[in-house]
Amino acid sequence: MRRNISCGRGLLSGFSLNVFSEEECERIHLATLELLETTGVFCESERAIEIFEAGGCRVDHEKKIVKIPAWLVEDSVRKAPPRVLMAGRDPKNDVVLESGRVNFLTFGQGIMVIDPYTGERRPSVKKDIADVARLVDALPNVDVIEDTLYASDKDERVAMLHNTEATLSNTTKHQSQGADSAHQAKLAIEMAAAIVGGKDKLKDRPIISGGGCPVSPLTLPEGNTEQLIEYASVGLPCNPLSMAMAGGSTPVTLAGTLTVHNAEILSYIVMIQLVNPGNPCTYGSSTTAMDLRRAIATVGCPELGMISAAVAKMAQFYKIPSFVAGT
Amino acid sequence: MHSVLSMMSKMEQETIHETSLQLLEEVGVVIGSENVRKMLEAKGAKVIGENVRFPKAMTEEMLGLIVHTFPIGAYTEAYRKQVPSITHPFSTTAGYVPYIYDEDAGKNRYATEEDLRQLCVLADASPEMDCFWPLMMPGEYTGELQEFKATEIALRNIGKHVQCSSASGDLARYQIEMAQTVAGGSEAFRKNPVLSLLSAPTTPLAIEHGIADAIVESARAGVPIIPMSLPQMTTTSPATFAADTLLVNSENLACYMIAKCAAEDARVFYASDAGAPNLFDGGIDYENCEYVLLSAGDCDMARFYDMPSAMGCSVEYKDFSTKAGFERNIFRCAMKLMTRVDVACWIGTRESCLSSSLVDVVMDLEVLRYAKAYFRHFPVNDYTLALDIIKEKGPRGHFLDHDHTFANFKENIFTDKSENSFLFANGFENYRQTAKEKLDQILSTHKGPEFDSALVSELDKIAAKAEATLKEQ
Repeated sequence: MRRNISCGRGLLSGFSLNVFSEEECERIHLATLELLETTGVFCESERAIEIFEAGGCRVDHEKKIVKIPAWLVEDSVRKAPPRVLMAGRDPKNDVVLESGRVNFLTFGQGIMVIDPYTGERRPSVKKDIADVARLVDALPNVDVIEDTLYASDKDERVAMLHNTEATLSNTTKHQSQGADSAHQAKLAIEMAAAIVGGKDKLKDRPIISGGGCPVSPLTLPEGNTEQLIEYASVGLPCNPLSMAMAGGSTPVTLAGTLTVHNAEILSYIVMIQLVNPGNPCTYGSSTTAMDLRRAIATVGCPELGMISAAVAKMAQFYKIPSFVAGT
Repeated sequence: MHSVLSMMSKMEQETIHETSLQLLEEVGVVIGSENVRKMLEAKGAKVIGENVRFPKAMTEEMLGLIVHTFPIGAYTEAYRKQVPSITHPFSTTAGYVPYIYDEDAGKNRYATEEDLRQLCVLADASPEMDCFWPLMMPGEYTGELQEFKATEIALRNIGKHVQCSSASGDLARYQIEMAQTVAGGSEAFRKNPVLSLLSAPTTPLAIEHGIADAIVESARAGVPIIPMSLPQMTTTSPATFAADTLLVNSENLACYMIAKCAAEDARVFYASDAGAPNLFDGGIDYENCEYVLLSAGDCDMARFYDMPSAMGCSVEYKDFSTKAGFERNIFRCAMKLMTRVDVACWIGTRESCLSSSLVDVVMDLEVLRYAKAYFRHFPVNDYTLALDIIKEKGPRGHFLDHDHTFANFKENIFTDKSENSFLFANGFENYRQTAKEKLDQILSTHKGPEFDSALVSELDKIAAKAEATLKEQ
């Protein structure tokens, strides 16, 4: 019996955790557009404010509030590519982020480590970062390394650069990193460029990407914002990631939390696309619920799982690869 | 906004549906009951010997008669429910296991009537248990009489909905008569069906004599029918998810056709307990990932037809001596129930449904209490979006002191930490003993439903008739 090719068939291999209807996604999106247009974000970086204003945003320079019109948000989302390459020093470790593909990376950034040889719980040092990078390099199911530990034995002004050096020297997988300032980001980019043979080649072989976090609610801090500008200006993938806390820095309802989260990430995506239209970026989240007894983020709670599933769906709604916290 | 674990796109569901229609038309099913075959032939099916084939048009017409929502009743009014569930998946004990783990002896033995009665008391007392399936069978009896006695003990000792298996028309009639008497008569039973009957096809594509007759009896009496299909990949099903799902779907449709030809208003679940065996020893392995994935796909198909669903989904490996072990089970339970099945049959089993214990039931119910955190419904509306409040607080604000936070934090943030479970009141290492103490306390204090003497007398008469006529093997 012959069966010819099926055409026009939409397929889904593997299961998915669905938390939204289409209409609920729409509602969160519309609420976000209204929030960005009427309330806006507080932006500490003058450089970013200039970029936003030149791109069509309304800016209150005195209050440092940037209001982003809906047309600009939707235009930026359309420009953000649906497919992001995270290259490794070894091309066999290249990872493509696109709809339906699930990848795994390390989480960070810890400041303490359980010594694997003595069992002692102690502050992490640069050697630990190098060891983690080598371990990740050997593990086939870890696709990307994110800054996992902090080099407490180095001056805090250059700790991030030591992290980059230790990681890039010990793994051939992609490194997702986060600088504290534009200056640090530039130096980290130079290090990566030196490995691949120049900044032009870095654009084709992006062995690092830059991650930056807003401060919820609705605040774009100077250092994190300007480092994202640096990564975008040379065409490297950018990973804006919000860690809103329901009940603390966002409304306690999950819908309200997702709206603030969405506004923060979209404001960064607008900025990235204004810097370099078509720049690859992801839609990131470590958003969770706040432990209202102890005022800390709860990373292992049921709400984090649900929010991560919701964020992934919002990212699919925007056709941008997602980057979410696990438990 | 709520979590639903799904496996298939709309087009894949369509493909399974269309292929099922083709399978039922071209291959059909073997139906062991001559009476049922005659009934189906009269309604348009093609019968060749024991093989029954359903023309597509006949199946499609009958699918127009799906009863999308119906009650699952209970003797005690507070326990009556409706499926599909709009709140959370309903949980019931699984069934059947041959052995019970004796806590005092530290080994398995055959279950007794008294074990089952105690289980009923525990189930009736536990708010997390929504329905009841006699997890263990009274070993004093065998054959159809054993199934009847299990039904009788459940109906007499628990005020919640009871689901039992039924392997013959005669057995089903006695089970139904007893349930109708508990409900207050046949008409009262239709409004408040206190019993549903599980009649499982024999995979692949066979419905044995007694099973088919039981489906007919159930359909005519208004008993919700659970045609639990159990194809196992590589043994009774091809080794692909699509083929396994196809068999589940085809067998469910075949049982559905029998029910609908018997009574157009028949209430039918979409049911399965599909999985993959342990290929080393051939045994069922409820802990493997295929069970969850297949269950997710089967629930997708139930939603495709807009039929209430019932699935087996045991969570068996239990080591709560660490917090991680307990939370592992919470998450496995949550994952299995996130398929959004309407009735999940899973509580109390051990050793791949070889044995059970009342202490395991207590532990599973505590796991479920925590797992329910994952099934909360979070509406997306103007109030929950809280746009005005976000604007009011603005950038760099916080929400800790807002009335909206005070009004909503208990519903939106789950604050009951797993280490606070009563199971660990005497230390993690003593969880099993602590669970047993709770069990003993329930058994010594809880009173089940109380029947008046007239009802008891009626039930006694039905039981006497059943005992006189039903076969023991």
